[in-house]
Amino acid sequence: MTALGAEVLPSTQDGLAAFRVGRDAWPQLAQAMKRDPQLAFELLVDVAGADFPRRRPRFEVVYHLWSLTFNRLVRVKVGVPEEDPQIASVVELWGSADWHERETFDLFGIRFAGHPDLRRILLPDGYPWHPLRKDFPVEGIDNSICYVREGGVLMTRELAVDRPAGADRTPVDLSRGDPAGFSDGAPTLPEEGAK
Amino acid sequence: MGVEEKFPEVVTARLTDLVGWARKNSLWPMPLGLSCCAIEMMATVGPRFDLSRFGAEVFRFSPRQSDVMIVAGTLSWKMAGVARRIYDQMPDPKWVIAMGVCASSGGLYRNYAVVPGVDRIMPVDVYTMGCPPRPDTLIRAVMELQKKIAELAIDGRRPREPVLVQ
Ligand code: SF4
Repeated sequence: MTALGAEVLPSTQDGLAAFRVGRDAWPQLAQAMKRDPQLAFELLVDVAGADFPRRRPRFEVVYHLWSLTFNRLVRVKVGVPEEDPQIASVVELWGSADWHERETFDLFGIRFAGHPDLRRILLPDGYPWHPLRKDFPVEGIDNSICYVREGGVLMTRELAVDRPAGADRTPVDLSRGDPAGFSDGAPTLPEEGAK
Repeated sequence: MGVEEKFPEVVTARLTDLVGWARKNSLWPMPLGLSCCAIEMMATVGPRFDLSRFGAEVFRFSPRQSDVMIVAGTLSWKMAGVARRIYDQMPDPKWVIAMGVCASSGGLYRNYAVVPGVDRIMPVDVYTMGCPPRPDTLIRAVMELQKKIAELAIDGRRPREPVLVQ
């Protein structure tokens, strides 16, 4: 694995073996992890996205792989830059990646090259944003855009009646560090007791 | 007096009242169970609370056979179009009960994914409070709806004044 430039990460609280790999080396590594009888990671348990607004690359795609042969669970992290949020799909290798990748695309906007059917899975088709990015306000930006569906009238009333568009959202201020609880050891957070 | 005096076995009534009486006691609900509230909705038709005492126990899973939609749960935008289509497929006259705060106003979910009240996509006749409402609250909502239905014109048209059950 290290031959492909994988960097072994310090063990986390859950004690899972984890390593980080470059975006370009990942397809080859995935191939090896699935096919090599010494590794034999037959099962892709999970594909998830993570957003670290102050890191470069900003996004991470996290894979959890399970070898049924050796009863081993391993975590692979692949960095994805914000400017070109794209990564190779592994649906060819693990069928279970299909919906997981769609979900990661839906919520983080990371495109999976080679995915057979990369549509949104949880949010309505045509939704313009990717709401699990840290700079997306949880109230939504302009919910009234969800009102009309193509080819049919869906709504009976405008949202703006009791809630002016954009008036009540709380944009995340990234200049003050990552949102609490998600900080990657962000050094800009004020120290305890500091005025 | 009149007919009823002469023939004690005969009762006269206005046709409107008669139709309203028949309508209100044979509600066939369409259960749109979207999340946790649906559990209480199921309890409502169970033996302990027994919605059939009020003539509304025939839950139909086909919108074409039902006339009151009970929206029980959190409606997401993804589901909104489907919910509206189900509503459109129900034959007239039809009614909607928004069960729980999620269906009534979005409830504790104020975010990009949840419709802030099903009245954004369909007219609601009875709003129900509670998270979830107890089964007796839902029964009360059905009874309030029955009151409305009894006052209905014979062709099913009426002003839509929503009722709030708390
Ligand atoms: S009102 Fe409460 S119980 Fe009902 S669907 Fe919403 S969260 Fe669940």
